[in-house]
Amino acid sequence: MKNSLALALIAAAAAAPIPGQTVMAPSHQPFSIAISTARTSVKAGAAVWVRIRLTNTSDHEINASVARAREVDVNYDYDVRQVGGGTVDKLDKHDMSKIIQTVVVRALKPGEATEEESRVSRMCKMIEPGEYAIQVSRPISDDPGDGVVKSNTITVTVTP
Amino acid sequence: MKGTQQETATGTYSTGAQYNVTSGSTWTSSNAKVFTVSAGLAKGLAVGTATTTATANLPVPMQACNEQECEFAGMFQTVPGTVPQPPTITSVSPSPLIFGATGGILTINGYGFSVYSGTTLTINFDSSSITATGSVVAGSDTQIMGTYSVACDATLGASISFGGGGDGLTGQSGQFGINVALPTAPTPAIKLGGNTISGTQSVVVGQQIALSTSFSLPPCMSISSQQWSQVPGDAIAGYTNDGTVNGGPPDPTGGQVADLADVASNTSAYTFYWVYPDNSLNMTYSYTMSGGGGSVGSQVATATFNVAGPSGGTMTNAHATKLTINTLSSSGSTSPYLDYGNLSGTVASPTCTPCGITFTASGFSNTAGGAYLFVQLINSDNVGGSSTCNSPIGLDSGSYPYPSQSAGETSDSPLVRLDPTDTTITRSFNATMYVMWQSTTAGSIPVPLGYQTWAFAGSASCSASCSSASNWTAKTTGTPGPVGAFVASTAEQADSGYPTWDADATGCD
Repeated sequence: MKNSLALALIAAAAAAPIPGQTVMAPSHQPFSIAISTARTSVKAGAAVWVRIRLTNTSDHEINASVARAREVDVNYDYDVRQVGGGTVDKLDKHDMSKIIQTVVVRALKPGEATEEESRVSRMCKMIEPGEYAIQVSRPISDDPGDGVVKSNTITVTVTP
Repeated sequence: MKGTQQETATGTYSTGAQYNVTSGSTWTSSNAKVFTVSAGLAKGLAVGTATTTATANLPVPMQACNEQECEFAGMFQTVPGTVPQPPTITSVSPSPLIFGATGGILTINGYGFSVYSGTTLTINFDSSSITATGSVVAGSDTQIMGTYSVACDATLGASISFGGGGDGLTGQSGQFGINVALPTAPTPAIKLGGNTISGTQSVVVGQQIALSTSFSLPPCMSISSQQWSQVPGDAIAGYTNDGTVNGGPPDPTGGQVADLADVASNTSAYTFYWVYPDNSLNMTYSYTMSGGGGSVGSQVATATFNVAGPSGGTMTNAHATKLTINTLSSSGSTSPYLDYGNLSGTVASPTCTPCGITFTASGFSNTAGGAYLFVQLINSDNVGGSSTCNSPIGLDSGSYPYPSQSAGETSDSPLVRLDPTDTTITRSFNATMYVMWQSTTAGSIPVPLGYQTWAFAGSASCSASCSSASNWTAKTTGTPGPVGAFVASTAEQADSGYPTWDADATGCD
């Protein structure tokens, strides 16, 4: 019983949302996000791209619109942390999204998926050598109270 | 003469060979009262003079000797009978011997071979690169059967003599010339994607045509040259956009067509992609193999292709006729936006009535087994006024492919947020949307179907309280929407009609 309780606490901690942000339990999420990168090691100053796969896991249509500015889909939030605790300078999303070149209004049917690439290093400064953990999230709806869906976390190494 | 005296008779071939024919001749005495003679043995009877004559019986059957050897030189007459024959070779099979052969069947025809019956013969050549053994066919005087090998260091064209000497065909008079020749080059088979093909192949545009060949070279032979024919129809070596070819993200080096002329066609494998449908396209392959100082060419292998793919369609568009000012929310805050189209709601989940411009692939035939995709290139995107941005041109926002909103359909409704500090914003935008199609075959690349250039220009101005959309006024310059008509892709266009770019249109930092 003690062990079960400890495991439950660990699981709760792992899923703990960022303050002010609600993360819906996976079983209730209307969509999932999986990210990957073709280049897990890049030289300092080189672009870091992530491939984002958005899958409708619900039984109804979901919004999957695209709004791209500066090679980034600003409909996602990008959380980049330097492994070991270093903070990463991040451009203000509001500034990033003043001029939007691409707006595609679209929906995904149940089971459908779509993929796109975002140049995460344009929004988050990843110029110092080291390991960076990258995670992407997307609001579930226009209502902030509905929370967000988070992707898996990937690690990219920036070499000198 | 008294007593007895043994006489001998010798026959001489024109070739110089001599044989004792004493017992094979008919002996006569010119005066039987002086002496008689039998089998060369003369018996004296009385004193006197007489002449002994020996007449040889037929020396050699005509069918078993050549003309020269059948003629006795000197005093002998030709009469029926037999005499011992020297082993003589009249033909060898195969002729010529095959370069590189190992254990090939060798047949030696001639006569006089019975003297070797029961013996394994080592047949000597005057080249150590050729070895052979054989034995006389049982009961035969005229045929030797065996095997032979020709080593890789043998030389072509030289007359190889064998016979005589060693423990081989000793007694063989003279030499027999024989050549060594290269084997026939095996006919190559053409493979597509690793599978041997025959007949006409049905493929689709953009399908990876990975040709290779299959054949086994004979021993000691190597390929000295090989050649694929020039690819008929319109084909390219590849289309690089880094989004699909390299499995990575869009690349600032851009999208490029790899020219087939830059790819070597004198290799065993040859890969390319047909871009446009066509029929009865022949690809051929041949090679030359060499060895022993010589070379020989193969027959030409041919593969025929019918290339199917979308054709005959267009890309329609529906577009807004003006720029508008709308209020949209983003990250929890609302702002007025200058947009092409009429958008509402949020930036993340907008509703457009209408969207700026919507493109739909329409009327293309043969689209099964593949899907449409879009690529948009920004030709210019200049924002001025309170905020200035002249975006680099190229791939729209680094997005390859351009996002589709449904199968064969996409749209764009570019936005500029109007901040409270802004008073005037102008925007001039020009882009080209390409519609492409890509088959689901392994390793395929997209092919272009056509493109539509479109543009809009206008401005937004505000005199006071600019955080409210109602205080902004939009002005549309010119006629927004398509510029000219849809242009179907053709092989004659630059880069075979593919969209190409050198950089991403990144907007402004």
